[in-house]
Amino acid sequence: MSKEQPALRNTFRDPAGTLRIEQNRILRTVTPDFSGFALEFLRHPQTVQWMAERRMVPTTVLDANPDSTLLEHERILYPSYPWEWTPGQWVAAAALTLDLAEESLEQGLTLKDATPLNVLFDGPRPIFVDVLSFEPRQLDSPIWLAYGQFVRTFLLPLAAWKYLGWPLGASILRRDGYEPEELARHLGLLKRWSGPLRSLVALPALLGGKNPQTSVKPGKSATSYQVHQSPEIAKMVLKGRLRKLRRLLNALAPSAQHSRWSDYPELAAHYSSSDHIQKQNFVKQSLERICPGQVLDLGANTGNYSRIAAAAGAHVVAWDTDIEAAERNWRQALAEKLPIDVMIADVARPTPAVGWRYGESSSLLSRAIGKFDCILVLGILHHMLLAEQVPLSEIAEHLAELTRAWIVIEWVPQHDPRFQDLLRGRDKLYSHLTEESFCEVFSRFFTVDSSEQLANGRKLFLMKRR
Amino acid sequence: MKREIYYFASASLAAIQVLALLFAFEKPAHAYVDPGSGLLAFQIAGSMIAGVVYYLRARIARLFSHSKSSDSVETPSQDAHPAGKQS
Repeated sequence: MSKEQPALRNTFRDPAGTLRIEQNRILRTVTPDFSGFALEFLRHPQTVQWMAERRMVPTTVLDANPDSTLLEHERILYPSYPWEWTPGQWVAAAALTLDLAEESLEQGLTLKDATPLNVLFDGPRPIFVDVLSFEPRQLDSPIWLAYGQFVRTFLLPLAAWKYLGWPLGASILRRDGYEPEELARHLGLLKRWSGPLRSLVALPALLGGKNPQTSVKPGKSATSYQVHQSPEIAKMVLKGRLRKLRRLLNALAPSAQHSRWSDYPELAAHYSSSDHIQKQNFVKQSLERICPGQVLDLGANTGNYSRIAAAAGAHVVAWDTDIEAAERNWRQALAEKLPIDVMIADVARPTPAVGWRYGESSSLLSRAIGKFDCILVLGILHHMLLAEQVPLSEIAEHLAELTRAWIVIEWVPQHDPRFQDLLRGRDKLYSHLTEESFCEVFSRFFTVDSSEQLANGRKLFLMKRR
Repeated sequence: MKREIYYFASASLAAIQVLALLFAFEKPAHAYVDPGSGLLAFQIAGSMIAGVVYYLRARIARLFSHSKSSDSVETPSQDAHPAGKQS
């Protein structure tokens, strides 16, 4: 399986350098023209402070020779991409970008690019990973050239999600985000001119003309226009712009919503409180015994079991398809400083690799296979079997690929109300799904270490890979 | 009378400088990311308006500080524009 995974290719857009992964090490080559500034930037007290605060990825200089400058970044355990983030994570990544832009302003620097792809999540906290994004600022210019990219790739996807319901996951199709004109077409006149949309959509669309590609004068690109002001005024204008962007971001931040799954743990009528406690104890005791370093929580919901795994000392990656449930999981992990990477991800429909020759962002599975010591498969197996219609043998084989050693899995019997909800009259088709057949299929890949029967008929197993 | 002439000269100079600010944008900028079309125009317009506002605030503060015989009044806009501290 791992042989089929396309490798990430060297990055190529930024003229200042290129990033590559070599034997699990994250290496960045800096081009000679940018070497002097990059090394100076890395030595700057503010940069050192950002790294100590883990707002910027810790970086060491392996080679300071201007012709072969080589940097190594600390590896983020489990990288996630913007199309896998909850709305709150988008806002946190955008806020970090604005924070660093504002702080660097005082040092005479600017961010030359401002995209969510410059940010990863280290547990629940965003961390800025592109150290070559900073460059000296032209002190008499009040123009932030990455402003357009920040709006296109951070604010307009958030605005499209908030006002039009376009999923943030659609950002997988849009490396450079949305143009204001694209949103303008779908917004009514009044809507377009009210609230944050006025500055983000209506005015830029008006100034850009009907066709933004041809609205600039012939022979003159948009980049050939620049304003010059006194350095003091230029700095104040830039500060004002960053403050305005922060106000727009706050206006687009998510408010608490309820979804089908976000209240599920509280409303799970098929679970009595004693069953809940018994299940939690089984998971807790299993994890405390096997001491996994990395745990994958499949269908993590609001993260009850992710937090149990984190309390047992594991770094947890929590996948769920429900945005509101994942948002709650992320917010709690952030508030309690827990090592949980929350992602919107579907094991049955995993995120593909994307970008030029599939080499820019790796697929969900290539980041996951063989990375975890234990997989939690709690209350999700019947969804994979009945809703996603994946055969039992496929699920067992895939779990054996994902884990290096253990799985904690919950079997849901045919008479369970949730099983019946998903069965929807297809009793005959799925009549073979019994506990016996489950144990028989899984025994090809795993051995049962321990198990526990719950009063509601469900059964928990701790299994080890053969 | 002398004061009126000074105000008139000062206002004329301000208007000329505002015009100069509005038209002083022809040097090429370099970026490897697309700065956008409408978004760049919006930013340029905003920068010019903000620049003019800061500039005029400094001028107005200077006028007021000039009309007072006491020491100059410290305002953020004066800090922003050193010319405002001349009185």
